[in-house]
Amino acid sequence: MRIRWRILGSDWKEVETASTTVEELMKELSLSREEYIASKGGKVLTLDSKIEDGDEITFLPVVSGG
Amino acid sequence: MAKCSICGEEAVYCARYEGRCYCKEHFIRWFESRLRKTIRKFNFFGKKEHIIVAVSGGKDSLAALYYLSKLSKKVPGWKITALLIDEGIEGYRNVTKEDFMRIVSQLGVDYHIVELKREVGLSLDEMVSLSKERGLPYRPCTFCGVMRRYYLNYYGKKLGGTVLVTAHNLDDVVQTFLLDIFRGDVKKIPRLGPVTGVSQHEGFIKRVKLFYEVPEKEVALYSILVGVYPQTFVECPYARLSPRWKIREFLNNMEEQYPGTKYALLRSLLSLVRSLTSEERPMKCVVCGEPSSTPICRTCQLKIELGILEHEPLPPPSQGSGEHQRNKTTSEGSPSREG
Repeated sequence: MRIRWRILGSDWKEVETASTTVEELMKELSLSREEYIASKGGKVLTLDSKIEDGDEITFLPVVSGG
Repeated sequence: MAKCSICGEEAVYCARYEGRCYCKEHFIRWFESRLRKTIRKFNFFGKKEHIIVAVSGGKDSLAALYYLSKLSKKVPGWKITALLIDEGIEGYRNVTKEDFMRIVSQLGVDYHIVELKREVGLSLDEMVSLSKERGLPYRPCTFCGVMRRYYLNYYGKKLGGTVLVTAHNLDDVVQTFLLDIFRGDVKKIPRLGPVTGVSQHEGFIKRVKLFYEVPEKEVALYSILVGVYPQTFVECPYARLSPRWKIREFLNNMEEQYPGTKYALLRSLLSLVRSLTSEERPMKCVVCGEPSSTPICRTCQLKIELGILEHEPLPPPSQGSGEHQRNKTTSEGSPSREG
């Protein structure tokens, strides 16, 4: 399946993925679970949330910028 | 899909270190109840306080301001003022200041902004350039950390504050703990307690670390759920130059593999803070009169080295007296974040 993702403040990217959960996707994208919170349509997702074809997922940085 | 361990609704967070999940409503309740416990346990506040909240416009300090503003509605003797130090970092602080202004306006709290350019005569960007020109050995975080701490204390007192709240979280504290150990700077460890300041010297305002027992990820989630998470994410252009960045990555990797690592470090730190007696004996800076562990405080010393403050050299230190040694030059200030 194909999804769109971005880190807040960066551009959207597309990825073809076999990941079925947020946790698997973060691992695939090399994003630390400690450093990002996933959201979809303004709603916070947990690590075991399912992802589906066409999803648009934004990762919100946990780390402050300074 | 994880369910809330309390009500069975869709969860927004699972705390792996305690094996429980929370929906939005129960996460906020759980988070705030832990803050109340921290406040009671470490005796952060009395019934009558003028609380100065150090706010940068980042998610931690905005969350601290939101929570204390909410709590203050139940405590008639509390007054809240937000204090922002604008270092003058182009493309960063001017952006986070917009989030600061949006939230103070929404919450209706008093605020005060201190500009380093106005206080020191130079913005942080200008200090960094001048430092390079003069061949000084400091990273940008040294100027930022040292001067931010100085002016938070100075203006905390000047505004009539009784306590200064910083939004240091569990991650910040254990990162600094490891940094101090890696540098052999063990004497600084007592500064990492939940409450510092007034007991050390009359010139210090009491300082408390509100999120001392809360991981950074939970502070971020709270700020998202209560609507104060910054609308634009910008990173300080100097942040990755600091050794703290590496320590943060290391600790986050450890926490992913071994949940509970950060809490274990905090327990070790608290045991050390209790057993270590601070060797620091603050005195008054001979230049500005503010508290300092050396005859000339770090802020005045940096100004002298930058050539923007003139002062007669001090006599050489007496042998073997650590207290009278001139400040040793380190490559980075200690915990510099106020949120």
